[in-house]
Amino acid sequence: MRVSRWPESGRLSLLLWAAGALIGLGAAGFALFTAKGTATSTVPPEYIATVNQRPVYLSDYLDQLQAQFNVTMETASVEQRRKVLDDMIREELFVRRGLELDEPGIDPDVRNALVAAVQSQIAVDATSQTPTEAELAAFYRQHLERYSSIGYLLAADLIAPGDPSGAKGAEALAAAGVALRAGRPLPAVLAQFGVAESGLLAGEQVYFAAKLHLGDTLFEAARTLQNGQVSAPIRAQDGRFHLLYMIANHPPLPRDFALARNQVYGDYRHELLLRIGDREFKYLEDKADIHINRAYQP
Amino acid sequence: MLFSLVVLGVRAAQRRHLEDRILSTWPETAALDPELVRFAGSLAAPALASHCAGCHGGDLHGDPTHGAPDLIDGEWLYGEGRVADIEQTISHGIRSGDHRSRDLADMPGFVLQNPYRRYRIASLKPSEIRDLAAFILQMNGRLPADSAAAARGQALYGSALCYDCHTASAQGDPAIGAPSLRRHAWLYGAGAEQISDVIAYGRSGICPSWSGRLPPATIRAIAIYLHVRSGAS
Repeated sequence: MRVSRWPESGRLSLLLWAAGALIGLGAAGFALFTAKGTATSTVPPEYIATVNQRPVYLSDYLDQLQAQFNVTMETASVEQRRKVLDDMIREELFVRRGLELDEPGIDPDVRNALVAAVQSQIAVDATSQTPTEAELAAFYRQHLERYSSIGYLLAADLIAPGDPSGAKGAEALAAAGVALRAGRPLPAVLAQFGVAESGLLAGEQVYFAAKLHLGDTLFEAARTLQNGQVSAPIRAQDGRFHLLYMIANHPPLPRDFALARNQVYGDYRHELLLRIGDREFKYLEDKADIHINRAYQP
Repeated sequence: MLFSLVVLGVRAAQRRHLEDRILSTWPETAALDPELVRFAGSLAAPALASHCAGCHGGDLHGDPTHGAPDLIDGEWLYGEGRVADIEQTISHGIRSGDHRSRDLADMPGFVLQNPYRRYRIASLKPSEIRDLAAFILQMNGRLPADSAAAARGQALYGSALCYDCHTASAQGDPAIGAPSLRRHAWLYGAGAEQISDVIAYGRSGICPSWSGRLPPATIRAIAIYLHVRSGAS
């Protein structure tokens, strides 16, 4: 008589299934509680380490060795190398932990640093878009007024010390002006008419400095004088009469593109940066889901 | 066909191996290894031609109209010409916006109302700028038309804080990119007019950062190539 072995075989199968399920659950549980993502233990040669798959760059490590201990890789001691590496790993772990704790959401300093970092990245993008010479030259021509030289002048500002604000003073200055226009030398005029230099202008002055020293009224008169020209007596903001004698006037002139190129490039890049920044903001704004409380709608 | 594929595969593997070696060898040591130097040349030359020649010229001798320095004359604005120094400049640039870029100082524009963006310094008069230019020319063995101007310029060199960046001996400071004023390597031209213009209006050159836009092995290769070409090794 043949005895069926089916019940035993079925029990064995069930046992094997159960064992398989248990092993599977165990493996899943282990993986769940010790998960480190899809990890690879290979460190690419350009990194000194990876921390949770984030790179710690070899170049940064070398810079840090140099900055912290003033040593190169070849001259650093084992302790120095270990210290720098430990510090960099610690920094990476703390940065990631900071993100987990949503530090950017709560700490104004972290938020500011992130905003600055994004702006820096925009600047990097702007810098990488090197303009052609033709583009720079066109920008220079469009904004020629920005690329003028600084005007400067050498002038004598005369007052009449005896009566600086009165009619006699004005008359003395007028007479001195006639003599100067006639070509008499300045020292002789000073001696003859009892007038003196105010001391507001000491030697050559760039326009902005001359304006600061003379005040608006006198400066406006001064900057229009040609070399050798003399103004009429002018009552200035200080209440005194002044006479301006222009020895040398160098008004602003457009600087050659070749000389101004560095400034042109800087300005071009700055405007590009603003444009890229605006574009980035618009893109983010379009993608974002922003709601503003109606009660506070501007 | 199969043979060609095998050859290509072997070449790719060799290249990969050399890329790994060039990155894993310490920068200064790599520049002493003839095989790595040869490989660096093969990686660097096309990258330099397509990314750097636009400013520095196809022969890498720079262009004073752009303020782009000669890359192979052995004069280094930043660092001392070590491979690691050059690599840092290529990776992160100069005033590039990259937060690791070289951006510690600029040349102030001394005739401007606010000469310096980083801190307050006094403006100079145009005559003082001419005096300073005369002093710099004299330092470089070029007789200025007015020797009294050079003497006044020498005094100004101290009082206008030039020494703060260029050092008291005018040898420059490669840590901040302040060039030597005694080496005849003039970034923006050697004429009296160009030197006066630099003092009057300032300069702040820019070099893009290439990190993330060029592979690390190519950046290292360019650094090694320039280091070797400049005779620094």
